[in-house]
Amino acid sequence: MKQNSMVAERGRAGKSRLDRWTGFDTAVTAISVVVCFITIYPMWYVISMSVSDPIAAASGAVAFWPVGFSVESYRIVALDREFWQAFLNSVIYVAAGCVLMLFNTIL
Amino acid sequence: MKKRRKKLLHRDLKDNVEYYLLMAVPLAFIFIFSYLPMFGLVIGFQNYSVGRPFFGEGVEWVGLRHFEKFVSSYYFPRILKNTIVLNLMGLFMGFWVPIAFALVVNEIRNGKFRKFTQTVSYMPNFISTVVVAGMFLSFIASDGIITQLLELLGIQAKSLNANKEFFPWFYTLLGVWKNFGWSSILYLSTLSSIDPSLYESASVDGATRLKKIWFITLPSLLPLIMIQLIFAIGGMLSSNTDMILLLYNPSVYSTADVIGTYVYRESLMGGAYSPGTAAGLLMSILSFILVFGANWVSRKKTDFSIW
Repeated sequence: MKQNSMVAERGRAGKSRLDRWTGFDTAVTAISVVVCFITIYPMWYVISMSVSDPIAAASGAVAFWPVGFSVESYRIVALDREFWQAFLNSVIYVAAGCVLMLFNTIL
Repeated sequence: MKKRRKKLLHRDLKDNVEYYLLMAVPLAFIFIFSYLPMFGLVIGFQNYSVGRPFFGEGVEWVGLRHFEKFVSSYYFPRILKNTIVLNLMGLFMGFWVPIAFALVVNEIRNGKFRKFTQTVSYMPNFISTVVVAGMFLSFIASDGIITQLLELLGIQAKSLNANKEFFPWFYTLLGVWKNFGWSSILYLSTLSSIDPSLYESASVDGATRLKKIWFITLPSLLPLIMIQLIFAIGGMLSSNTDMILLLYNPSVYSTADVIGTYVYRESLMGGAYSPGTAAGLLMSILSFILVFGANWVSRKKTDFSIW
């Protein structure tokens, strides 16, 4: 993808002025960093919450890093029989769907 | 003349029998799972209840009554308006984001950072809608992070999940968040097929990178953009029903209730399949007209069309 413009810029002999870091690059990097943050933060936040101390999590003390540490919620989920049944169902659906889909699209 | 044609067909079949056999499987699949169920649409014209036959004796034909009832129902204008508003918002806010994002990613010079950004951007797509909606609902709960942020900005943000002005924005932004990375893959793959010599000659002519985007990259993407736009217009009447079902509650029905959720709630949950089918068929026909119209306009105006 990027190769295209890279090739184009390298087209001139050696280190041309096009190889330099410009304001354009700064803008591109800034936008990308913001996008990455917006995408990652909610997911990270949920992970942080899930391993935080339940009291800290409920009181809204968690902002980025986990506050305290507790895997109690994971233990509850892992001991839930219905969860594993649902998990198994998901696996079956995905496996069967994937095989059928591949089969059909390859044909 | 006819005989010769028959002979040719026969020879063609004989020569390519393997290919035809290969082709037959997906065709059978499509026929069984896409075309045969269409006969089920007849229950839209009947008073169907589970266990009754579709044809023959014991079928109570009611003609277009279910269609009339659906269109003349008190809620029809509201759900139609909501569907169109939510879709237009999704189009205006969501359509350009993947394109812009693909252009930005395409300009990142550092290979590792580019890969990272791309991977991160389509992670949300792999999270199931239920989890995304659950996460979001906890963010807009009274002690949620979005509530706190809005209050920090001085916006009255009590009980956001019951706020009917905010719902369309939440729904739209969440949709964009979930889908922009995934949608950008299509654009990025097209970008990689652009002839590098175009960029080279543009550089020789002294084009800046912005100019190269404007005069080379965007025109190369135009056919794809048009096709995506036609699809988006065709999907105008269908919305992300499961996302809305997960996010809404009775206090935001006036802005959140769309055709899909209404039909689900009023017909399918109560086992009234005939009205539900009638509504679905009506929407399919309208969507078909929309796609057809959008394609026609696009072909006339820009030369790009799906068919």
